[in-house]
Amino acid sequence: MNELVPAWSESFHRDDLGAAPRLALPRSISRRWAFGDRTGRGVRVAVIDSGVDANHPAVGHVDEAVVIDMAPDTEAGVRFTVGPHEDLSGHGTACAGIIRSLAPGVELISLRVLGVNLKGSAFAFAHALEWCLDHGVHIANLSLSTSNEDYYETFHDLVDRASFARMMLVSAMNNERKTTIPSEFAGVFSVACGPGTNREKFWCNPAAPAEWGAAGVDVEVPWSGGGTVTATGNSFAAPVIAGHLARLLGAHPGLTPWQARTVLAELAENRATHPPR
Amino acid sequence: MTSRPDLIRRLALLADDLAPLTPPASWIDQLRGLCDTARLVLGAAAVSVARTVDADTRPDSPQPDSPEPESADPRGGLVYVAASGEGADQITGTRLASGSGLAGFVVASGQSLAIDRVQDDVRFARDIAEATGYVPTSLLIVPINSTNGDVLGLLSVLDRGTMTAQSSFDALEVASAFAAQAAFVLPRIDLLVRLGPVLVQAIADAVAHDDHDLAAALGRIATRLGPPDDELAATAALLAELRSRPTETRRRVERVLSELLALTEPRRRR
Repeated sequence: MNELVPAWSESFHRDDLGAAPRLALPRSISRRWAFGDRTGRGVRVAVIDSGVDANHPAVGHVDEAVVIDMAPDTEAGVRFTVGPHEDLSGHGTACAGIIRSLAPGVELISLRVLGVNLKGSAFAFAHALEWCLDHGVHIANLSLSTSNEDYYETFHDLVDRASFARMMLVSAMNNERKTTIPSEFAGVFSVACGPGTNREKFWCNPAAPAEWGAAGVDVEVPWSGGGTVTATGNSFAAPVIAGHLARLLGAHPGLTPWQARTVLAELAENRATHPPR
Repeated sequence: MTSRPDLIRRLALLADDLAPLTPPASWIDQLRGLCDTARLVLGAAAVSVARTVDADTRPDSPQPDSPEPESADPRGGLVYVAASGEGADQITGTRLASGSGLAGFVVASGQSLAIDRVQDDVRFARDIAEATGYVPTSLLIVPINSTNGDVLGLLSVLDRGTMTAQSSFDALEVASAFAAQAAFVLPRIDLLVRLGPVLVQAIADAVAHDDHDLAAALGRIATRLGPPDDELAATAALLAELRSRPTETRRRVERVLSELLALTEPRRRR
């Protein structure tokens, strides 16, 4: 069977990735300092996706769940339904399970924007980010994006506001080589697939926009129905980075996105052995 | 005994129901050929193309005595229009009331999905395997996108194999390339599938009103087809008016429009 390599992931699978940008720090940053107890306790992580199966053993529990649906008959055009929901495809459960495996203590929030309507998911997606800004979310995993140009300004504004509010947006690059929103914005942690299946490893690409690489090719992930499947996609690499960020924020609450970037780059697999002086 | 207007109304509903099963043959042949080629290149057991269909917007609500068609889905769905390989005959014409499942995810998210050992996933079995009668081990689904980013449909690859040694592309890239080809064909099928029932309904409507004026009947049907694109309609009206102007004027307007369009090209991101 062919190994699939999603678009934007090629850089991480070649020998010429280059070194992660580093600071000439007098002392190197250790994983122990960065990630503390590795639980992500106290960190609110939202999974904006197809819903999360709260009963899946790899997920454990979901702390908050909201379905965001189109409601053309209302003034806002959108409806928020708070309460337990099912995962309509399994994709959101996979992302949530990956985050839990790295940071078991996070407060997990499922915002379901996919599956309720074949169209309009970009609209619900934008409202999900608004919800996160209003509800003190620290990290949002976006293993989805839109190619609808009409949403360029909306998402640009939302990503800026998230950055100013110290909310970290982790966005999967599209699996096909096409421009999508907001995965190529400078304000998000953009993620594609790195080599291997070890979630402890991640890479920092010195050449944006696929800024981070993590396991996502032929990885075993939780899926709806209680089991697992072997899947490939940048979608499954993004929650690895979200999990590491949750660990970091658990140990160092209040870090800004640019501080978090610097720390992650210092811990990347491709960090330079001898940082520039 | 069924009255004539009721008979005509039923005829119009029947035409609407049959539309997904009677699309233009030549375009379907093209898609089938595309599925054949994709299946050979990818060494797959089967390849299929499905197109998204809008929520049920039939012009007339069925009367209490007429049965609600099973395909009615307020959220829209997917219709498999062409396939090649295992289960091809069974899946062609199948409609998925989809907002869920693997196919629903790809349509809603616009993201491709590659899953191996799919039989472990209960949702998969319900969505696709039952429809085809063939249970694959691996599944690759890529979206078929229009140029403005809308998902027109999806291309599914069941049990991809090992590609020929000289090929350096991976299966995802190849499947995406075929999906890009399908993106040229699907809008034409969609247009003709919509047009057929509208014409039949207009004829039925004209006969039912005993006025034999097809243009008026088309007008009546048009008002029941859901919200029109006002901007496009206004532009079309202007262009229709332009037909009565001198050639030189028409050429000047064309030049101005071309320049305006070039100015409003979406900005380059990178």
